[in-house]
Amino acid sequence: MNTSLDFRAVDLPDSTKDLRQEVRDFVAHIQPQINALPDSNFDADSSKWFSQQLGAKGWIGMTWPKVYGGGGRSFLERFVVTEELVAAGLPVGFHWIADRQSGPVLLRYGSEEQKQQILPQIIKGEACFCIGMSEPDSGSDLAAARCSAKRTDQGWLINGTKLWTTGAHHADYMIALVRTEAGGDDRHAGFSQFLIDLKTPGVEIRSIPNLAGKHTFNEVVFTDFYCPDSGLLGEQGNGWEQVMSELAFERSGPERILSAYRVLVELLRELNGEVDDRQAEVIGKLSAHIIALRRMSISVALMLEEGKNPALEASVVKDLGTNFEKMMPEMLRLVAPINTSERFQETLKSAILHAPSFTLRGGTREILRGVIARGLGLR
Amino acid sequence: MSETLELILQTADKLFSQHCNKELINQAETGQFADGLWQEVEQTGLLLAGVPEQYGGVGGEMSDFFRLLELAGKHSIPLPLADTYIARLALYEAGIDVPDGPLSFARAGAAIPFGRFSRGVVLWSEQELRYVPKISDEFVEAYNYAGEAADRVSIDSDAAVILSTQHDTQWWRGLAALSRSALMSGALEFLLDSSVNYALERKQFGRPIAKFQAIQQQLAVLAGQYSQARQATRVAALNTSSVDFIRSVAVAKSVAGEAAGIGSEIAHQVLGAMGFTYEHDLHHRSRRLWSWRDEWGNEAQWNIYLGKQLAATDPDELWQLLTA
Repeated sequence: MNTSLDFRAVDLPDSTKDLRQEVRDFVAHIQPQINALPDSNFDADSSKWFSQQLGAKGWIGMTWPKVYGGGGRSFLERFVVTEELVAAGLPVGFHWIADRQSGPVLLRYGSEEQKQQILPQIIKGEACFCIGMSEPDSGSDLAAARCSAKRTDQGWLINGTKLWTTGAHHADYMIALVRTEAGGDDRHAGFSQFLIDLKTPGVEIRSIPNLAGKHTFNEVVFTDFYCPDSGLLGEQGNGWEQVMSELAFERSGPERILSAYRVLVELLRELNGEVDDRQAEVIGKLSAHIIALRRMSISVALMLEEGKNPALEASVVKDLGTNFEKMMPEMLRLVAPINTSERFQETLKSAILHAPSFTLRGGTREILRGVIARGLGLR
Repeated sequence: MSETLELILQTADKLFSQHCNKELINQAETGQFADGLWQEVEQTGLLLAGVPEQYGGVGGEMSDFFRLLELAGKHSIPLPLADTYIARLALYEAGIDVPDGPLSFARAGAAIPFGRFSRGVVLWSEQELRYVPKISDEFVEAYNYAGEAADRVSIDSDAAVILSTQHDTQWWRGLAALSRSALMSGALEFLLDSSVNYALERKQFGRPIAKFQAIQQQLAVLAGQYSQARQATRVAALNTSSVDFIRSVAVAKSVAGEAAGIGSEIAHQVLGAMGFTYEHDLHHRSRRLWSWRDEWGNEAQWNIYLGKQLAATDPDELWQLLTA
């Protein structure tokens, strides 16, 4: 049973050291030009300008084939870049989804035309993607999605609503899971994925401010929206399988561990080297978990590199990681000095206010634990 | 995994399965040394795993031995395998003849694991390692949570020899702490297997309790805790010659100790009253977990150690340390 939990005590190869230094130099150079406090919550902030700078360095789509402008590099190298950016709290939101999952899905299932048209835009930091999965009546139960597409002479006629769509308001494209046939007995049958150009008419994007007053997610309404035939992504009716393969990319990265990392950095700044045992214990405990979880995440990145399916391991990392990142501001606030700087307060505030989303986005904790239970043979 | 390691683990698993069972572990709790099992371990040469050839070992990596300890923890082997291994290594390094039989490795002034059965004890302190070849017979017999001998004894300090070893005292403490993490990882594996099997067999409300989400969610947490403890332990075990060894031990002992508490709580909840009986073998693992998590520094102590070290750095360089 547990032998199916395939974590290996591998480390990143020495060959990634130069790359890491290069990223750190880039971070040091670019950080002063960013007009916001560092925030390691990957969807806290988004900047096309920043993503373009990153694209110019070749750090978006870095594992993709060179023929599409990709870097042809390994998942372990990508891991180095992503963890450095998240730890530094840079605004990665514009390219994050495209780089992490939309691009890989296009590479795996897209037509040659789609790949040639879209991938180079992502790689340059010029195309922002959003994920069209959840709907008003379909959250954890993704197979309840009702958004539908009918084939007509003018293309696919799409009607329905996608919800909680992060970044849709500045996204160029959405990859949407849509019903193309009735499901029948097999609830997972009859789905297809579409590559949708959000700049075409017939799509309405409404902001849904979150509890922090920020505009990150949206409601996206398709009313008699025409998607050209070329927008079908992959095989008609294969949408469920495609969307499941997408999730492995979504579930194990550094962004599932480090969302509240900047609070730890800012607490150390407040303490200025003077810690009592209580503070040291919290700092030590959180750091121990970062170090341990990071090595689990690296092991998953290696599985991706080897072409294995790390769905179970990725779910374990995400479950542990997101619960951890939620605990982080809770523990740190209790050991903060009475008087703290505005910088610390703002960093803590952002983490506390966004923490509820950490164990919801990308599959709730309960869904992930269900996936793990299945992997253990319990269901 | 190297071929040597694979062979060692296969041999050990077979030996432990054949020669160690519930009755033997229970017997050990009544003060009987599991001599037969000890002889098997010695004859098979298991304690030579990862010991450099210059000391008569089989070579390989030191991490090989920690993998072996995972199995010992999984099977609740009632022998001082970790202590004997570490004490012998200290004697090898100091160029002192190693006596036959089990040895203890203990913090000076603290209880001596398996003391009454030991042929000698290596005493650890911040300053030095001392070897006491003959322990007095004046024991105050005591036991850890698992009923393993953890005796108090007055040491004749005149008979003690200061060991001059290649490694410093922090390294030796790290080795001892890591041995407990490895034992805990193995015991957690047993807990996971045992709880999953029980949940699939035990029926309530007309179906196996494994079908209830409340149980599934708990076991998923246990799987995560076990995975994390094992990963941190194996990473540290590969780090014994690194300058960052003690830091990785702090991580391993902290997360494994935490997993011991969370994991045993879940396993006992899933196994219900059955798991609370002396009859069931769950307690052989859970009671050892409760002892091991406290031995050689509990989670809080290692967290404080790590936290003090990290807090002393420039906050903007913290990330560099965490990724070192």
